[in-house]
Amino acid sequence: MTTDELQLLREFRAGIPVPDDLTRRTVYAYATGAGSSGSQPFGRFRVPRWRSRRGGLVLAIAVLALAGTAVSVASHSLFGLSNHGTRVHAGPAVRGVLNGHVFVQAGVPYNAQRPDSWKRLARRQGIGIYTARTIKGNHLCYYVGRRYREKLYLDGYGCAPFAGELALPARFWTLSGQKAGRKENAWFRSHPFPSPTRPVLILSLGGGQGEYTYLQPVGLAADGVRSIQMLALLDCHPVVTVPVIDNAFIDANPLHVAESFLVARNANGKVIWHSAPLDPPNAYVRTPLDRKVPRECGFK
Amino acid sequence: MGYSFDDVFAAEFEPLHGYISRRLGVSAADDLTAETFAIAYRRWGDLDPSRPVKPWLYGIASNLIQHQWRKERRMLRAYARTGVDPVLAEAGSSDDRLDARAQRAILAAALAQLRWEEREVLLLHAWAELSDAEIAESLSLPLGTVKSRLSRAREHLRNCLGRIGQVEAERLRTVEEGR
Repeated sequence: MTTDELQLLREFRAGIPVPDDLTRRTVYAYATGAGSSGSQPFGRFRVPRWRSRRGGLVLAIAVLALAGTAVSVASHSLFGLSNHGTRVHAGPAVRGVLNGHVFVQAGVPYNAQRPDSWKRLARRQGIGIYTARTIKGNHLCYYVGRRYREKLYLDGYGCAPFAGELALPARFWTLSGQKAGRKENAWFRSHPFPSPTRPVLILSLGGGQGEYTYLQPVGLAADGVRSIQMLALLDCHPVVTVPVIDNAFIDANPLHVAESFLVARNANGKVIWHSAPLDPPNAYVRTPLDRKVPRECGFK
Repeated sequence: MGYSFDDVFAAEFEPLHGYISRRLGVSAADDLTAETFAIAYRRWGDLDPSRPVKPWLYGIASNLIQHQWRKERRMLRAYARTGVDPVLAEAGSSDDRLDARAQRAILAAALAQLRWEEREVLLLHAWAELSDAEIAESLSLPLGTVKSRLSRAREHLRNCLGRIGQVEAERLRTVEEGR
């Protein structure tokens, strides 16, 4: 290879998008105002902010004191979802996406969403989790949104009570097979989210082909869940741990694992739930009834 | 002092954001850029007016980026394995040219193999466009150390590009043809 390595590096640097004016203004306001004491302006990325060992120690003691009281609250909060989302405007682009949307699970009277019901529960690393209610039936539906080339792309993950694993993104609807979904739908009905038997709603994204398939762990978790960990099905080793912040876990880094499953851990680090095996890229094709995980992982 | 905080913000916000974006992704860049300027604002009174501000600013950013070295390495490795740029993918764009993808995947692999200290010097030189003296100022290092680290990093890159270039390019082409 004869090209100068510095030139290659500079080309590597090119193409990074320019931050918009809103980001610029937010950063400026944070730096000159709230930056001295406020939390991160975008809240998508944790920045260490220890100013001194003494300050850290005081903070640690305070956190430990609070944790003692919090544990008792968190331990019985697998039914709760404190994040009710913030209302967002559903513009013509969003409505256009939705009008072409098809849900594939049996028994849900799909219809267009109420434009005034759109809420965003989280947005991190370029991925957002949204909810909206259907006009017909007032069902709560879940979406994962990504922006690509200035357009918003939404993948639907079904409406309550069937939301989550069985509901397929619209573009994969032919994979569903509604006949095969009856047992699963019955399971969903009897295991609503959030509940102790179903404290996690998996909305993961996947793609790629062959050995280049990837998975991006995304979803919602009940209040009692502190982190989601992805484990390799082959040997149970942890692939990634994603913190649950405001009931949402999002990791946009594409992970490459043959087969894996998710576990939910509470504030004490104890595993309180595990998913069925995920097989990327069809991460959304999951049967909750098939919950086999390696015995050596120590889960039932 | 010949420049104000506002002047520096106006001049350096975009390059700094771009630099951090390339290293850790756009979302991380939003917060780390904000934190960098917040620290700069708080310490503005301590800044020596006779010294250039850019190395000082990138020095703050480097300290923050250093905490995320695992994330950076993970992203580079993912890029090397897949040929998909995680930063551009997050931002919703991509480089569709196969040769560019293959070459950058190799480069990402080589960068991931570098020691953090060497990568830092190299990227401040290549991406932040700081001179050797400015890097020394930025990282509080002797100039000789910067030069030797830069030299080692470049040599490592050259070796990697030469050694695995052909193999990786062939692998990515095979994958592309299979799709």
